[in-house]
Amino acid sequence: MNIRTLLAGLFLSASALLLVQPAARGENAAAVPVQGGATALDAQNTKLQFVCAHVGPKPDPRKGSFSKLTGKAQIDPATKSLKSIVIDIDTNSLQTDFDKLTTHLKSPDFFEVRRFPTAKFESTKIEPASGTSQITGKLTLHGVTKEITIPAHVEITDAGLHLSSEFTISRLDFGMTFDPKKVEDKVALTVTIGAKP
Amino acid sequence: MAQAIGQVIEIFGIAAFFALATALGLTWLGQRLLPAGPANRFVLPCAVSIAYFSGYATLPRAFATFSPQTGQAWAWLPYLGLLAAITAASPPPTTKLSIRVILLTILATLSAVALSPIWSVYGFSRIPLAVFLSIYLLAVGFPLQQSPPHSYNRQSLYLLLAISILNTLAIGAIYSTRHAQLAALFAAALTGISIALRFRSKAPDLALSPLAPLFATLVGGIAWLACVEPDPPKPILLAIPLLSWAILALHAMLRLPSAPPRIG
Repeated sequence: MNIRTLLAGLFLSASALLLVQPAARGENAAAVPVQGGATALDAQNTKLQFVCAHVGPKPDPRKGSFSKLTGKAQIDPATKSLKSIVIDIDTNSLQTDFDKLTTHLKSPDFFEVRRFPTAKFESTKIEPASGTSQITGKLTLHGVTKEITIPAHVEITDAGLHLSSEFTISRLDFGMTFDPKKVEDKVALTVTIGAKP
Repeated sequence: MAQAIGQVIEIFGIAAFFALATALGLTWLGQRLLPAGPANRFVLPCAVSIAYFSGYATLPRAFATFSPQTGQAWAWLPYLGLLAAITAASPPPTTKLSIRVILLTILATLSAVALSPIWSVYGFSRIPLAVFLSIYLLAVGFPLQQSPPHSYNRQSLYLLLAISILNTLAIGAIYSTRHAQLAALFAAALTGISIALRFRSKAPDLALSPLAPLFATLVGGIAWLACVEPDPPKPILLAIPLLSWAILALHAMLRLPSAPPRIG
């Protein structure tokens, strides 16, 4: 093997790596396909996770998620921008790594899922941006509806929609008043549309 | 450990204190103001039901609403407590056991309609669950109906108090603090009664049998809700109120007559 063959081989290998990189990163593969300017959301393509912690020197943050949700995102195909988004969550599908914690979170101390079996987010205004968009909407949780504005990274390509957002809410604002001296008021939420199943 | 202690303090908080103070005050007043006959009939059921209502009124309104909504069966409990008090106080203590059991059955059926879930439990729909619940509430209250009609027995009251406290702690440990707070209201009311009667110079002429409908509805009822609301259900919680059957063993040990004079 001479030096030319070696350089040609390296060039080809590098080109191949560059070509497959987006797929390898999972961007296009993870995007949710858009048909007719809309895409249906469900637990397969949308992940909704939360993290809450205890008050005090040993926070022991606990992760939770919802395994059942439905929704719809509307997209303007011309401008490739997000027009609206609605997500309905089955609160009884809440799950954590601990059965006892799951039972407690579903109880009237927190989500009260028998009385409030659904939660909902419905956008009212979306300010698109090349970096972080601002999505304003009504979040109904535990029977309380509040307007919130959340930052979101929205990416709409030919492959479809990908959205990721991280934000915090106050559980006390939504009437989940169980022992604020023991459990933090702020709950961190992560929404990912176009997550790998 | 510190967390557990914190939870117990929250469960037996302000609402329980109100229930205790109300029961103590009403029992003390009732014993002094009413003649023996009416006192025997009205004091305990009125003290417990009003104490339960007053404690409930101090819980956060978002949870303890006065107008029950779908999926919020516990909001019926204070009203069922009042209904149970009426059921308990209506017949004189010497009424035939069979009549009192019929009244208890009617109350258990009404309570079952209010407290049966709208979701299925172990594949059973609302009607079979309501039938099961009415039988369960009857089973919880029946042993107490057997208490002697005219003699106060401190040990029996302490036994009921111990069962109520155990019920409260189990619900708090297994399901939710809010439900445990509701269970604590009954335990607190019994504590108030115990304190009021503890410092009497002579044994009061108070029967415990009028407490049967209240015990069945409020102790059995909250245990039922804490059992069927979680998914999966927690049937172990149904066992604790059934410890009321131990009162029959206690009566046997103390050689008390275990039932009113005749049945039928």
